[in-house]
Amino acid sequence: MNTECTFFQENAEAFALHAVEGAERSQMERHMLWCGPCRRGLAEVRRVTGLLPFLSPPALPSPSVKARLFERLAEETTDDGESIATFSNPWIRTTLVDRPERGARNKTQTGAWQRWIAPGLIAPLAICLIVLSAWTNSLRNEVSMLRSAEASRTSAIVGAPPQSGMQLYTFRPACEKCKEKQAAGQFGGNPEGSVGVVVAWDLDPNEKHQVWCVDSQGQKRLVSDLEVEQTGSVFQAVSFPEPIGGYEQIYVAQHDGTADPAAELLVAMNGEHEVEASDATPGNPVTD
Amino acid sequence: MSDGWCTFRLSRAGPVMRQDQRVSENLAELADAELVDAMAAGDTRAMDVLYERYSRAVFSFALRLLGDRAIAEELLQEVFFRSWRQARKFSEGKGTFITWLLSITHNMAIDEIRKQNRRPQRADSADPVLLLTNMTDGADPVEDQAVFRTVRDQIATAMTLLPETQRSAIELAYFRGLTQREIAELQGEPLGTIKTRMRLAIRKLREHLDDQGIELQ
Ligand SMILES: [Zn+2]
Repeated sequence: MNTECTFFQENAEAFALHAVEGAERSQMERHMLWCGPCRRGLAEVRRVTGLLPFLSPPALPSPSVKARLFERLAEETTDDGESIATFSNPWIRTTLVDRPERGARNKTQTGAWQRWIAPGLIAPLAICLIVLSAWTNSLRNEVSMLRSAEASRTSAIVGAPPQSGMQLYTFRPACEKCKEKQAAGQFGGNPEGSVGVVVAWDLDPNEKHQVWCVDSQGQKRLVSDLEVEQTGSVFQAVSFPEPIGGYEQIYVAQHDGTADPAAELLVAMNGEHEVEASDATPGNPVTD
Repeated sequence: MSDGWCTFRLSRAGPVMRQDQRVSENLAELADAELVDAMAAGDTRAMDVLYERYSRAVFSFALRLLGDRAIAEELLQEVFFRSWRQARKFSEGKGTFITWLLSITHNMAIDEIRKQNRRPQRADSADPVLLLTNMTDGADPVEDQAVFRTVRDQIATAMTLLPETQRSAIELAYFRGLTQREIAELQGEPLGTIKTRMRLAIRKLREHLDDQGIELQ
C-alpha cells in the first residue's frame, strides 16, 4: 500500500460516480492498470453504481430511433465491404481477413509467415501509434483507417523506420506449452513512448491472457488484459504507465490468479529480441 | 452467471421480448454474450434482439440524465451504434452487456451535461436535484419491464435508507454530472465531507443490495 493506493481508495466512490475529473482521474486510471487490489476495490464499488441507472423512471423511445439505427448499420456494413475490397496492404488483409486456418500451415510456412510479417508490421504499427497517440481503447475502429492508408505513405514509412522512432521486438515462447503450439508474436512501439502494439497468434483463446512488464527494479506489474480472438490471435494497442524502453521485459502471461504469473511470451527490452534491421525490408506474403 | 443474462431475470426469454416479427424465435432465445458474438460477426438480427431487450433501459436512463426526449433518443441510437462497432471488444468478463451499454450511456451523457453546464444558465432554471428527482417525461407512465422491476424496486428502497445529504451527493454527481469539488462548493462543505458522504452512501447501498441478493453480474 502506497500513497497512490491511499489516494485511490479515498476517491474510488467518487471515481465510480464520475465525480473525479482531469489529472486526478487520469492518475487513477493509470494506477488501476497495475494495482490489482485497487482495481478489485473499484469493481466492488461499481457493482453498486452499476445499478443506479435503474432509478430512472421507465420511458419508451419512439420507434423511429430503431429505424434510424438500422439504416446506419446498413450503411456501415456496405462501407466495410468496400474498404476491405479496395485495401492493398497484404499484412492487414492476411492477418485480419484471410488469416490461415489453424493447423493449415506447416513449419516452413510458419517461417515464411514470420519473415514477412515483421517488415509488414512496421507500417501499420507506425500508423496505429500515430492514430492512437491520444489513446483509444478500440483499435478495431481504427482498422478501417489502416485499411484506407495510401500505399505510398505506407511504403514511405516502411522505408524509413529510424525516423519514426519505431522499434519492433519479437516475442519468444517462454514456456513449453507455447513452444509446442508455436505461439509467437511481435511487439512494436517507440521506446520513448508509452503505447505499444501487441500482435500474437496461436494463444489459447479459452484462457485469459494479460500483458505484464518488469521495471528496472525487477518489479512485475500488470499492464493490461489481452483480447484474444477465437482464432488465438491478438492485435491490440496497450498503454503502459512509463515509456516502454525503460522496462527490462514485457511479457504475455496466462492469467492464473496469482500476483505475477509466469511468462508465456517474452520480450527482453535490452535489444536482445529486437528485429534486426536487415529483416526490416518488405518481404513477400505467404501464399497458402 | 453462466448464460450472459442478468441474474435477476425471471425467465430466459424474459418479458422484454416483444414479438417483433423480424426476429427469429431462435435468436431471441440466445444469451447476450452469444448475441454479441453474432453482432461482432455482422448479424443485424442479433442487434435487433439486443435492442428489443435493452433499448428501454438505456433510453430511460438517458432521459433521466438529459431531461430531453430528442437528445436522449439521439444518445440511445449512438450507444447501440457504438455497441455494434465495438462488439468485438466486449467480453463477458468485463460485466454484463446491459452494464456495458449503461456505462457508455453514462459517459456520453455526462460529457453532454458538462458541456451544457459550461454554457450560461438561466437565472430562473429549476433546482437540478428537484428537477431530476421529480422528472417524468411528460408522457403517460410507462409500464416497467418486469425483468428490471426487482432491481429498480430494490435500488430505490436502498436509496430511501440514505440520509438526505448522502442521497444528494449521489444525485449531483451521478445524475447531474457535478465533480466532487463542484458539489463541495455548491453545498459549502469541505471536499473531505463530500468524499465521506459518497463512501458511506455506497457502503450502505451495497449492504442493502447484498442482503437482498441483487446484482447485475
Ligand atoms: Zn493501489
